[in-house]
Amino acid sequence: MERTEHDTLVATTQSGLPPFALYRPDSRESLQTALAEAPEPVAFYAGGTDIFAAFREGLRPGSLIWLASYPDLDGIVIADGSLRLGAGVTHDAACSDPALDAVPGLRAAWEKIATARIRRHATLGGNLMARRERYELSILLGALGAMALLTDGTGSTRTAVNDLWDRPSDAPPVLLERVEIPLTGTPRIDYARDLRPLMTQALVRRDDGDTVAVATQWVRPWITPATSTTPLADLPAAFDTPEASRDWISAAGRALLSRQRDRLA
Amino acid sequence: MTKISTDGRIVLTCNVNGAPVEAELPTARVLADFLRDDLGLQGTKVSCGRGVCGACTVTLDGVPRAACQAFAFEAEGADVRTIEGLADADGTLHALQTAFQARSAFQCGFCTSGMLMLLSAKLAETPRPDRAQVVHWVSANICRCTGYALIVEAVEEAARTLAAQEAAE
Repeated sequence: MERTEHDTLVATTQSGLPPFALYRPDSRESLQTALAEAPEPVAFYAGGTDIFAAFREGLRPGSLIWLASYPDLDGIVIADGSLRLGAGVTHDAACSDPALDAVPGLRAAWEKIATARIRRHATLGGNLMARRERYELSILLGALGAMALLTDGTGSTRTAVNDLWDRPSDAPPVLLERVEIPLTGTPRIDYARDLRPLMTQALVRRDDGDTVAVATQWVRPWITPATSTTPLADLPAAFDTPEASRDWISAAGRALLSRQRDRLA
Repeated sequence: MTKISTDGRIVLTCNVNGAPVEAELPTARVLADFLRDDLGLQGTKVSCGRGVCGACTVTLDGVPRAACQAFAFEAEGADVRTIEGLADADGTLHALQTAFQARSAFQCGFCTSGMLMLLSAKLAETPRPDRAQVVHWVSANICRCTGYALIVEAVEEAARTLAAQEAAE
């Protein structure tokens, strides 16, 4: 929002964006060069979905790094015991890739995300790096224990997808190149979103036990082993919101969990 | 690396509704503004400005896209199609336009151009949709008059028409 000379608040729009420098790197080296010289603040641009929401919230990039030519952001492969998903893969492309069958249930869950138009260009990377509670891939991939591979062009770091939430908003820009879902323990997933936006819940079953992720449209995913005899009893206090109480979410989550366990049996 | 612009300006070359276009623009030019204000193609409507309602849907190389949620620079080298380019050059309406007209699948009409661009692209990809697919497609755009049932029927009719045309060829 911007305050006008008449002291009223108006929504900013993307139509009023000032011009920015525009880069289109085609390698890690050129990404490094771009990041070194690009006027700040720097924003990455791929599917162009979430970033327009950020523009309306006040983001004014000095530079846009367009990822249309960046290598290896597309595609899904199985390698070294993991399902590797390129950060540039769109919702539609992911769900039409046979490799996704390596995690039973993931396609069915992913197909529920976004509309037919948005699914064509919105990317996995944008969905995760936006760090908006209403976006759902962080719930699915967090529950699956996925790891994120990030680069600033000079090297790469790995971090748990769920830890992306803790990255400071003023941290230097890094590019999410891919996400890796460990296939150890033959994971399969069930996703319940019928109660959205009040709550959604993913249950992942591996040979060594279950993991549950609970989220609402306002609270980031909470991920915990689902082995307790009183699951969700220790749901964090952050889930107590005006929209839904923590007790309600716990009760609803336990009911969902029972059904999800049956579906994964 | 392609360093496209450091001065905030670009030269865009593309095809819009089959005609070549070259324009010098700010990098931040939103596709919807380029089409409506620079090219005068005001059949593309802007409503929510958030990529949610789909009123501004156009196609880039056949893929539906909310023009309020895309930059003009993304159209470089692309075939951009707006509602003004959906009918044939001789004025023959697309089967979907004919079906919308026959079934009055619009009330205020503000969503119509976006609906037509989205649904014509989806029909080109999937010529024989079932009703569930059509409902899924239509649900991507918002009709504030809530005329969805007639829109779904029009898409089904257009699909039948296109199938019959294909069989006759």
